[in-house]
Amino acid sequence: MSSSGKVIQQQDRKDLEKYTKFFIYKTLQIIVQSRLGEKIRTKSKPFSSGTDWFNLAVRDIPEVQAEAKKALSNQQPILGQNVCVEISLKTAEGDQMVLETWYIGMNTEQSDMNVRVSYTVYNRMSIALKSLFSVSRVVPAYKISRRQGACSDDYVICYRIYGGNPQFFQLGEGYKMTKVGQVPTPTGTILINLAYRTKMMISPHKQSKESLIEVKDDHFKQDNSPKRATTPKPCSLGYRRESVAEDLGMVFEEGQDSCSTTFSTSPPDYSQPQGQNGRVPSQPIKINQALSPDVNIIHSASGKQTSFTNFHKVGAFVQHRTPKDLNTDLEDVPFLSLLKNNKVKAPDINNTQDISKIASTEENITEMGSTETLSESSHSSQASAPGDFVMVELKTPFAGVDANSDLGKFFRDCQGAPPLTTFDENNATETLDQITNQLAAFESNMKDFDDFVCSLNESGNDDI
Amino acid sequence: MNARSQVFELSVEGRQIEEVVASLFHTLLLNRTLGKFHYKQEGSYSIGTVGIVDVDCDFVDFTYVRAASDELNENLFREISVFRDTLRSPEGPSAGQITLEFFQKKRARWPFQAECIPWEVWHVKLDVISLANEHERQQYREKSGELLAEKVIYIAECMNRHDYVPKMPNQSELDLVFDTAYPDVQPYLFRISHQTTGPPSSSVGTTMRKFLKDTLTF
Repeated sequence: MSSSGKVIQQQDRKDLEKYTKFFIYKTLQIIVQSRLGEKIRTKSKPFSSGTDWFNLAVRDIPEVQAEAKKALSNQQPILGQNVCVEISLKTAEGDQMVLETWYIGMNTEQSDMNVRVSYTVYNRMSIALKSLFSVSRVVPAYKISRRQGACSDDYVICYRIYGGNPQFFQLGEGYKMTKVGQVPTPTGTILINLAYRTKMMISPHKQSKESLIEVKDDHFKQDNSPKRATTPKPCSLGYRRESVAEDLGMVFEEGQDSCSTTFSTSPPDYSQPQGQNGRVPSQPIKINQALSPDVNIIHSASGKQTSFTNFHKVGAFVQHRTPKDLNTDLEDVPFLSLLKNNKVKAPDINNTQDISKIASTEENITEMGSTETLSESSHSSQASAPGDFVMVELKTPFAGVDANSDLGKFFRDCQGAPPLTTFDENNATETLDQITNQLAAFESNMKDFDDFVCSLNESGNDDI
Repeated sequence: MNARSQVFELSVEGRQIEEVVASLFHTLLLNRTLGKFHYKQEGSYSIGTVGIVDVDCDFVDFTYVRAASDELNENLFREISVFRDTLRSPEGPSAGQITLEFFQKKRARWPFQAECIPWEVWHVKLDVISLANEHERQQYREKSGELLAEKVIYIAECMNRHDYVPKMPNQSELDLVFDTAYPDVQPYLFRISHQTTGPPSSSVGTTMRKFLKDTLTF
């Protein structure tokens, strides 16, 4: 039963550790998934399944889970140090700007000795996660992430999970702090807090210029965080709804860690021991090794090469295309691409509908494995990064996935209309050259023009 | 027992009424909704799963999260749309208040009905404004989004104080705490009510003014 006095019972401690661990996992999943750039929709179920921790339908992205496990692997005890998630924006040029830092910590000075672990703490964790859902949608980074892939100046939202103290200085001047959730437990109060950047122009065209501080890869070394965890990973690495664990029927290897959905007035009997404290081999995020020479290469701490093109533009509802769809010389004539794109789009509408059907019914036993999805997306991104020109993804406003949001989406798209490619800074010199040439040509033909005007005048006079 | 009570005051355009109220009430209901309970034997129950839906607003630059339940959503919008229609009717009231009240029931002796005891009440006071042009409407669309964001953060803060909520009931008392009518989710018992206040009715207003004027002029 509830821990009486000052000593927390062993079973309660075990439960609490387990709940805390999964609370952190789910927190990280919710945060990263809120920055995928797409709307989340999961179904309520009268009967919980083993993965529905805290009675909430939160899908698990395996890569995020692996990153989370890495961050927690050297924590003893759990939440002995803060767990942080940094959400940053990375532009096509490789500039980076940290948008927000979420951190989960434990205040051991504030504890609630009389609270029941078995249900009350569990329920409080559920409420904290619900608050996390709500708050993650109302802070500035959410809107930025929703515009991923919708603008001509391309950027991608990345996440990085690390242990230790949150690094606020990267958020620029005037950053704001918000308390998101807190869970009083017998051993202390678990906190979810957020610090977010306020000084930025939401206009995505300027953001690349606002990268204030160059961050070294080994910056967080002091906190014992694993080296590889310091490389930001794109939130939506080609993952669409169909690729999440639940739908693929992928079950985590730790079968004994599925949540208990039964609560009772007597202490729950966990016959299976809590295990899995050791390291779990993380799933490597597959990257495309064959890089074209003109893309930015970022050397990660682990010595691997990653590139912006690997996670280039995987905005919401973007189709996975085969390279041959894109293998055209789109970059030569900017507006030609729009026409091209239209042609490609026509059959795509059906696909979109298909996918929406699949996603809405949640019965997608997709044969598309996660690795397949990945490799496919890297192919297409490689093909769609032709140097300075960025393909604009055309969205059909009235044939979207969710009929209810079409109008709003169309409206937002209009508001955040991309600038003309002609005026893109990269093209500016080229355009200027062209204009100079044109002027010179006109000048050389001046006599012809004069003659033509004269002839018009004469013919006009003749008529009269 | 004194119920906790909170008031949100907002100025909105007529077309924003529905979304502003829905975003606040849905955020509250998400926190006050659990999965369906299934009692196995006395003192032991299992709880279902609550799904999550992101909703984009059309007339406010805002996205909110609601519990995935079409019935709950429809019920909420039915209540809100009555309030909206009252406020938007021509020459109707220009201000109003809509209230979301969580309550528990207490059984009374026959033939009396069960007593409803509120434990948490949220008022949303709206002042309906009209804007001159599209530019202003655009600005207000964004500003309303920012205001709603503040309210949602405040709601999160309140919810994480973990103040009183009714105890998990036994099977026989489930209906006294939760609304069990929904097939997929189980919110705490709640009801929505509204009242509107407008500019003083023209006849009374003008009569009074005339009366005062007449009195004072001579």
